[in-house]
Amino acid sequence: MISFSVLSQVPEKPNPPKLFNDLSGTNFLDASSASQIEQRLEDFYHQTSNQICVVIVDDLKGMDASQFAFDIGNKWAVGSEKFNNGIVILIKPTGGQGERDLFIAVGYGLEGAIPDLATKSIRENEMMPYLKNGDYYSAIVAAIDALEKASKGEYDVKVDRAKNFFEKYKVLLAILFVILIWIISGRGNNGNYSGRGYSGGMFRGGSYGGGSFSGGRSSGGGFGGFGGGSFGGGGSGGKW
Amino acid sequence: MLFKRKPLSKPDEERLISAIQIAEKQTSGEIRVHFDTDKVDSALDRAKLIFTKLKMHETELRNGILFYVNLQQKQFAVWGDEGINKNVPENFWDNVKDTAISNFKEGKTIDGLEKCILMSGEQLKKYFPLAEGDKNELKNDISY
Repeated sequence: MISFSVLSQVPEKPNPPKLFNDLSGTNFLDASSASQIEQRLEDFYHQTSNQICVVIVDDLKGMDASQFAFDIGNKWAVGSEKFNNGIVILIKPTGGQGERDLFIAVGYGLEGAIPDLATKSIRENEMMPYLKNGDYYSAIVAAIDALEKASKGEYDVKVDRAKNFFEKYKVLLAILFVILIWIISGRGNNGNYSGRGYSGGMFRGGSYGGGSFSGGRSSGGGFGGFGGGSFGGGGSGGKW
Repeated sequence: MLFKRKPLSKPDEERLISAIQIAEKQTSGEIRVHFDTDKVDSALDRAKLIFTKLKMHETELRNGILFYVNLQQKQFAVWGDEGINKNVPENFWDNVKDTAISNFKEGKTIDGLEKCILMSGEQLKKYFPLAEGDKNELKNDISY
């Protein structure tokens, strides 16, 4: 980290540590909804070792929501030290139109599985519809569901998918088009063309399973705090 | 590029697969090799990610070992799960890495990997000897 001085502007880590943190003083969620979300986040952590931390504030201290969310991630040390597998969902529900804000910050370790495009899609397509109706509980649950899927490589980013598909496979599509024309025009055979099946290729990406690296850590109650994840393996790497 | 070309020739691939089979013969441990072409900052971080992606942490005794090779970026890493990591000598992974890299520098990619695979197999046999009725938990495969 280049400088920690700016981090002092974001709130202190909650004590005892919690994964759902309403620091806004707005009764953002009723107690039972809040504890359901806390439980859900703890379950997710126990299952995958990935930590999702939800933070509700009413003041961004003049910072961008993104900066604020990343600073919280760093200052609270969300996720494990080795894997940097933390996620901060920051919501500022107060203020008028244009002042309410939302950001999802993803730790280094999960960036591969959950790129910016995915968090943007989650914000806009999963959370916003609920937030606009003031249904904060559903917005958070939808975000957790989507992040859980994304961490396993199962979330479909809902951004211009058709366009992306054509961009990515335009060469392939052009070739198929030429072949199609060739078949239609009947070149190379005398009319009696028997159809040939083209089986579709698989374009699914690999699935990034969030690893349960901390092995057999399933103590009941609480999630053990931030930054406590321990990775048992070892290795070595280098260039040549 | 439309289709990724495999960085290995068929005979080279077969050599590696047979080295893995030899290494795994008397152990419940699991070895895999992954070839990557993407740009990477840290081969070790990437290896860890791929280790998870290949679900190699799901072995019962946590004794999977992954070799990560990136010929384009000239990067190598080895990652062993906690079961095997607990047992190997302290500098074992560095030794494996040094063996790989010194061979790779001379252009002997397959020789280097073969040595690393067999070295790892020896350690796995020592600490995870094959028990009666053990089955191969993961494919002894090479992935790209």
